[in-house]
Amino acid sequence: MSGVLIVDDDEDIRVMLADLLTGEGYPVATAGHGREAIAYLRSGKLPCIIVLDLMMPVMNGWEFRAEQMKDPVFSSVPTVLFTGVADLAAEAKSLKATGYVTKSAHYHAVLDMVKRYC
Amino acid sequence: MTQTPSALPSSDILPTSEFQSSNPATSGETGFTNENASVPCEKLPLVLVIEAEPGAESNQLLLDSLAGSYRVVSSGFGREGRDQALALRPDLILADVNSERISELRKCRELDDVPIILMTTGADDDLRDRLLEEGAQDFLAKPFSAIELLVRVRNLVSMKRARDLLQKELLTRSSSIEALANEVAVRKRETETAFEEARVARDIAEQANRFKSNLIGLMSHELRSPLAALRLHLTRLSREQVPPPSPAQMDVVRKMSTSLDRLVDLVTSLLEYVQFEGGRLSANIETFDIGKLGAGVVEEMRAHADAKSLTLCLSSAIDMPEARTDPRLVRLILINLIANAIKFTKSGRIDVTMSHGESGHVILVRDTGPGIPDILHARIFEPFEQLEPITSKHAHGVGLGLALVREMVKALDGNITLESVEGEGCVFTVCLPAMVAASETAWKSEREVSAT
Repeated sequence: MSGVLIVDDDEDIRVMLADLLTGEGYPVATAGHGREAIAYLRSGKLPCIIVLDLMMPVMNGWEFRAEQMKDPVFSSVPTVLFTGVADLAAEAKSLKATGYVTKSAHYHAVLDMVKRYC
Repeated sequence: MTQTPSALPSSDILPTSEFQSSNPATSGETGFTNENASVPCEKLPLVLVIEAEPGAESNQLLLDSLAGSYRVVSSGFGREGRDQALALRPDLILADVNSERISELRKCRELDDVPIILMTTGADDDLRDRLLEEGAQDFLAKPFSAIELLVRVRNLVSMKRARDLLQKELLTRSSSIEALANEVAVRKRETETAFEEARVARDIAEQANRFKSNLIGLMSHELRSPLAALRLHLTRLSREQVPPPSPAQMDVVRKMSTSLDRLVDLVTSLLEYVQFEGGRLSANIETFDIGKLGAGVVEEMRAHADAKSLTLCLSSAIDMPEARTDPRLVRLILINLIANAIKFTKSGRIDVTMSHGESGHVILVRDTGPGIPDILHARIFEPFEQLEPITSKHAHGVGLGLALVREMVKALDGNITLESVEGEGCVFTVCLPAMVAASETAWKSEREVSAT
């Protein structure tokens, strides 16, 4: 089973979410920003879902989406926004994201998304 | 200048009385009435007589006939006559053509409006035509009668006076129009200045609003990340297997989760309010089963009601037609109203009623809480408004719930009303029209989780 790619600059969230999803039996990879996530995708490991924050250093979520969409294989990976930015529904729509979960939502909201695509 | 025997020096006004005794207009011989009899002497029309020999016997009798109705001044011809005319600005010039060519007078533009009557001997038609062409208004061939002189003088003086009056009126009107135009120009400048000031004020307000929205948006975002981390930690803790948490530890985790929920709700409410204030709330129209949606929300909220031992009931019409509006907003309206009722009701029940009428769907949320005094019914929908003073409040939240509900109802073209008697609870009634404008775009709530 291909795993979950968590892209978030907040280590606390990244590690804890990875820990919980691993506990559910999902393989998890993490990236601290968009560039690391692109490097992971280019390494040939395609995740079943990308859980993406938007506000990140080096390469933010918007820039990551732009890079991801350039590649037909990468763009086919379901990508769910998991972030605290304002206007999340509008951001999800404009970024053509598969879905979105507000960062302060319960963990099961993220888990439901993962279950749906993995 | 030469004076007539009966006239005062030309620069003065001739005393009317000197002429009245010989004035045919008053003698009864002519049948003329003296039209200026009641006019003060200084207001009588002024007739300047220009002749070769001022005071000559041949003209004097005729000129005397004018005396009762006119001031008469006699002058010599040539430059003297012209200077006298310029100085006196008479109402009429009576010129003896044998001694005076009127072209000299007509060269003076100042005298353009002064009518001239020519007195000639003989009936030289060519001369008469030429003189009339040069600017004379009328012609008297000697010998002429006093009546003829009076009639011609009166006609021309009347015309001149009427023209003077009209010109004066025209000038007054012109100056009124000019004043009005100036006033309009001043007002226009004032309006333009006011518009400019309003534009600057609006720009400043918009800038401040953007700054405020950005600031609160950023704060909300920065608050959410640690909240998310905290939630994940709590979830992780509650699932710990080695060793599993004790019942007492689980109780602490549950209490922390409850506090976290409140904090998340608060941040979410603040962020949503900022969105509303920025005018960004709009509806995403769908056709859906509103009865089913209501039942789902009531079931979701039941745990909260149970926690306070409150009864939560839903009554829904059996034949509820589908609604065409924004299900997400309807859901948020219901959640907020029910949560608000649960929050403020200490004991009793909360009844949710859903029905349908000609004007659309109607949702009622009735509670047995403390109620709201009449005087506060309007204020309760204002943001940050709660009944209790901040220093003594015990209900959680910042009072944004009903303000949010009102904004959401407004976005659906609906209306919300409150009926309440203090001590007997509240009834909030939301009326939603069956259709709202399809041009509205997606509503952007972050309260929800969604797969697009």
